[in-house]
Parts: sequence; C-alpha cells; structure tokens
Amino acid sequence: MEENRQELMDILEETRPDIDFEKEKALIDDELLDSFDIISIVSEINDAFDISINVNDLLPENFNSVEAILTLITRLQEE
Amino acid sequence: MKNTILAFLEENVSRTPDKTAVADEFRSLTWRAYLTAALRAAGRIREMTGADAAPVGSRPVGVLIDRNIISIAAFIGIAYSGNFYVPLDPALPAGRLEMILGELSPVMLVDAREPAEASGQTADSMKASAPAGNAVLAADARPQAPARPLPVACNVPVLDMYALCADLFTERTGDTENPAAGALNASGDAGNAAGADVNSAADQAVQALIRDAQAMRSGLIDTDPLYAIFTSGSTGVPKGVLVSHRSVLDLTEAFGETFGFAEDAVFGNQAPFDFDVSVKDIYNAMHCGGRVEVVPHRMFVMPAMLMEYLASHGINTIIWAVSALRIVSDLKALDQMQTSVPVDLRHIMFSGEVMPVKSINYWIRFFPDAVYVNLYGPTEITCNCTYHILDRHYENDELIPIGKSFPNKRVFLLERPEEDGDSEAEAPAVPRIIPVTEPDCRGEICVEGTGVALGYWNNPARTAESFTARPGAPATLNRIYRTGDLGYYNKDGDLMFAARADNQIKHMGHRIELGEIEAALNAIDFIDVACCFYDQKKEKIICVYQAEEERRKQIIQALSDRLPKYMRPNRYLRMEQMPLNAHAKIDRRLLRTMYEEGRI
Repeated sequence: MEENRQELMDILEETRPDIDFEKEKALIDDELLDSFDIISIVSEINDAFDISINVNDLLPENFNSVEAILTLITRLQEE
Repeated sequence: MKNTILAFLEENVSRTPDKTAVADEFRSLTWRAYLTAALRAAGRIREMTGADAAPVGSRPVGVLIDRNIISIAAFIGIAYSGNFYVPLDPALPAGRLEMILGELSPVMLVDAREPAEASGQTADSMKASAPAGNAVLAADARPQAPARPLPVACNVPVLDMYALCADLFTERTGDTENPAAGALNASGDAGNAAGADVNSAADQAVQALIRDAQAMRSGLIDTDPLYAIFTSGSTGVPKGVLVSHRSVLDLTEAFGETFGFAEDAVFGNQAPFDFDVSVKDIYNAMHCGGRVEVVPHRMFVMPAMLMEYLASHGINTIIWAVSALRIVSDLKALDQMQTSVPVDLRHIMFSGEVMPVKSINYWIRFFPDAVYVNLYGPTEITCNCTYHILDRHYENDELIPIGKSFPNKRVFLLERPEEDGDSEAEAPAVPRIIPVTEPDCRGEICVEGTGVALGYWNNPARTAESFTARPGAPATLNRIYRTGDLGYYNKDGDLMFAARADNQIKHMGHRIELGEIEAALNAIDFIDVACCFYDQKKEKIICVYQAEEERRKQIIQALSDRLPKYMRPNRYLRMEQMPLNAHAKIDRRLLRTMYEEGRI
C-alpha cells in the first residue's frame, strides 16, 4: 500500500505540481483537476499498476483524494 | 447584402420568435428573449459609457464569463452597443488577468458569472419588481443587484448581466423547461387579449423589437470589430486577436454552404468562451436558426454522463477541440453507453491540434453515420481556413489531411529557408508560393481572405510582423496572415499539417508559446535562465532552469500568479550550467537530447 501511495504521488505531482495532494480532499468537486489531468492520470495509473480503470469508475468519489484513488487502485488490483 | 451576423439573429426572431435559441443547464432563451436581452444590455452599455449622446466608435468591453448563456447574451448585447467584446475567464491567475486588463484598457466590464445565491437576488425577486410594458426598457426601472466582488481590481463601470435580464430566462428544471418563467414567450403584453388579437399583438411586438434592433445597429459597418480573444504571446504578454463582423459573417456563410446546417441543428458547446472554437457554436447556430446547448464542464471531467447529456438535450452537432473528443476515446467512455434516448450525432467536427486516427476511429465505431470533419486554422484567421471531410477509412498510422480551403479563404504555402535553429541564413526577398502540384514540399501555411483578423489589439508591431502583404503584391492589397505552421500537399492536393516553425505548442487543447512560459520563469529572481520544451509523447511541458540550488516549490508558487494552470510546466529540472551553442545561445537541441537520454 505504501509503495502504491508513493508511485501514485509521483504520478499526481508530475501531472499537477501546483496542487497539494496530501491536503486536498475534493479534487474533482472543487474543480482542481480538469479533464486533461484525468486523462493523463488514468492512463499513467493504468500503466503503472497494470489495471484498467473503466469509464464507470470515473466518478468524483473515486478521484476526490489520494486515499480514494488508492482505494480504487487496490479494488481493481484485487478484481 | 448583410453586413453583420446580427441580421440573422433578427431574421430568426421574425421567423421563430418562441423557439429556443440558446440554453445551458439551468436556463434558456427564446430567439425573442435573446434579442431582448441583448438590446437591453446594449442600451445600458451605451448609457454607462456615455455613448448614448454621441457616437464614439468601437471600444473594448470585457466580459467576465462563465459556462452559461448569460455570457452569450452579454456578447451579443455588446455587439449591438457598437463595441466589441473580450471574454475574460475570472478563474485566471490574478496576475495574468491584470496583465490582460492592462493591455486591453476596457471601457467597462459586463459580469456574466452565475448569479451568487448569497446575493438574495433570485430571478423571481427580480421579475416581481419588473414593471409591465416595453420589455426592452423594463429593466431600466428596476433596482440593480449589488455588485459582486471582482477577481481583480478594475476601475471601470460594471454591468451585472444576470440582474439586468433575469426575467427573460426560461428556467430549466431537470430536462424540462418551464415556459411560464419566460415572461416574453407569447407576447410582450400577454393576457389581455385572445385569439387573433393575441397573435396580431405578438406579431407587432416582434416587428417592433426587430425595428429597435435595426435602429440600434444602424451605425455599424462590416469591418467593425466584433470580439477580441487573447492568446498566448511569445514575449510574455498575451495578445488580443481582433476579429470583425465581416470575418464572422463570412465564416458562418462558408460553414452553412459547406456543411448544410439547418434549423434543426443543435450545437453542443464544449469550448470555453475565451477560445474561438466556441465562436463557431454561437454564430453557426445564429446563421442557420439552430440552437446552442452549453454542455456543463463536469461532463468532460467525468464523462460517464456526457452521452446522456447529449441525448437528452437533443444535441446533434459537435464542433469540439480534439482534446475533448480524446477524453471520450481515451477513457473508452462509449463502451458502456446507456442513454435514455439514442444519441443522434450528425456532424462531429474537430480542430485545435492533430487528431490521432485511433481516437476518431473509436468514435466512428459508435457513430458510423455521422459526418466527420477535420478543421484547421488559428484564431487570427477567424476559427478555420481549411477542412477535410473524412471520406474513407484511415489506418491508425496515417495522418488526416487538413484538406482544402473554405470558399471565402485562400490558403497557400510559402517556401521558407530550410529550418535550422542555429541557421542565420536570411529568407529570400520574395518567397515562392509552392504549387499544389509539388507534393511533399514544405512551406509556411499562409491565409488570405475576409477571415483574416484585423490584427492584434493595441500592438502594431506584432500586427505588422504577422499580418503582411502577399509576396509580390502591393502592401495595401491582399493582406495575408502567416500562421507559423508548416505544411505540405499530399498527392491528392490536400494540405497536410507538418509542424510548427517556432516554439508554439498545443498542450491539452491550448495554444501555448513556450516563450511566454520562459519569460515568466526568467522573471523569477533566483533563476539565471530557463528553457522549456515539450515532450510530445508524454504530453508534458518540461522546464530546465539554471540556478544555484533546487527551488521547485518556489518556482511553482511564483508561476501560479502569472500563468494559467495549463501553461505551468509538469517537470522542473535544474542544471548548474546550461549548454550553449556557437552563438552563445542556449543549445535547445542538445538540451532536448540530454533530456531524452536521461542526462538531466
């Protein structure tokens, strides 16, 4: 889990260096991430964790925080 | 002969006054209400700028935009007032907004942001205080909502567009409209007559409205500016591209003639209003009598609901940035498409950057009967100058042509000296125009015709550099715009896009001058010098800077006040000493090689 977290943080911080991902808990609801960020993040997460995020997983509650994204990654890795 | 697109708005009011013209998630305007809102705003703008007493010529009016039809009505109101509008995104960093306002010096601002719930001025409360009678003048007697704080200080009058026109909007609840909320739907004086008398009164009200509109724009000529849109500038300051009524009118004539849009066209607006892709939605709908549906931004962030939105709002025509179509294809958002009614997409058009064929093939799998069009052109030639209708299957490794020019534009290639970053060679005095019969020969794409913009606002030096005379022609004739894009003809005589001739890039659908990012970086006191380039494969902006020590966080902080988020670099790499070439300039080519080899 900790390894996943570091890898995810690397992806997020490279996509949007200006966002404090440890602090923000409403990345989608507060419109901090836009559509291009999501494309980039989803594609890099899919590659890095060897999962396939489905369009139906693209919900604000799965992307609002680092914890939420980690939970999604873990679920898809277990499926 | 018409001299402005506004004449089509009036024709739509005459023909179908009660048909919905523009709509967003929360509200809509009929053609009649749309024109009424615009005229009301125009009258108020003239008063507030002192132009009601004597004509003063066209001047800039800034619009604080939102993704709503309040913004669209504000644009048209400004056009009727005899001024030109400049869409301004209130979410831009304050420093950048101040820079644009400094360049622009607007005579006033129109605030078209969504009404603040906290203000207590709802549509209903505004309507309750509106006197009956002449709808155009009604708002003048009403109290104005208290002004909301502006994102930056600006010492000019501000008009609150929503407060001015609240009674004209038809509110939308869910997917249905509540016509009762549109005070003008049946007539300007509904309820005191019946049958033929009502119709007759309504007709007279419509004709009176159109006469008011024609009187309001009587001083306008076709070369007057309609809008200015600010784009990234290589010297560090954004530039405002000034576009005339004539250019927009001719654009819509060309689109109408080429694609046959009709009154049943419903344009699903994706592009923000400070990008000229949105100009095509607003004015093509006005030209053909169709409708604009502003699609909420969140649909493009989490696209699972996007198709349902298109279906339930009857959207059948999309003119989107390539990046917006890619959101759907990259995330495979059509794979599990379930909509309440079928999505009926007839025209799928795209522009802004090179469309990956695999992305468009994904769309074609789901919408095989739609017409797919690749559009090309920078803001300076009014949206697009060439188009290519996809007429066959393209393999994933092929390039889609940018095609042939629209009827009102002439597009040609000017030969350039061989591109070499270090070359000091001078261009020939009169460059050669490359004939269509010479395939694969690269040249700079140049455009001539009525679509060529008036120039850059308040920037004669840059205007003279980019808008020039056609080689060999007298300076006063045939102004052309040199796009800075390199292209070539394929064997079918179709134009193909090759590359940029300079440091401009397309990133996340935005046109960005790397020089503008570098100027912002070089303004930071602890950076000796900075250089940016684009990693096309990873779609990331890379910044290499020379400084005594690593200070990534401070750089990010400094840029956040100056650059919009899409212009901020993704990676920051520090070097103690930048590599220099023989001319003592940064060796960009070596720098890129070092990056690609992981040596920075």
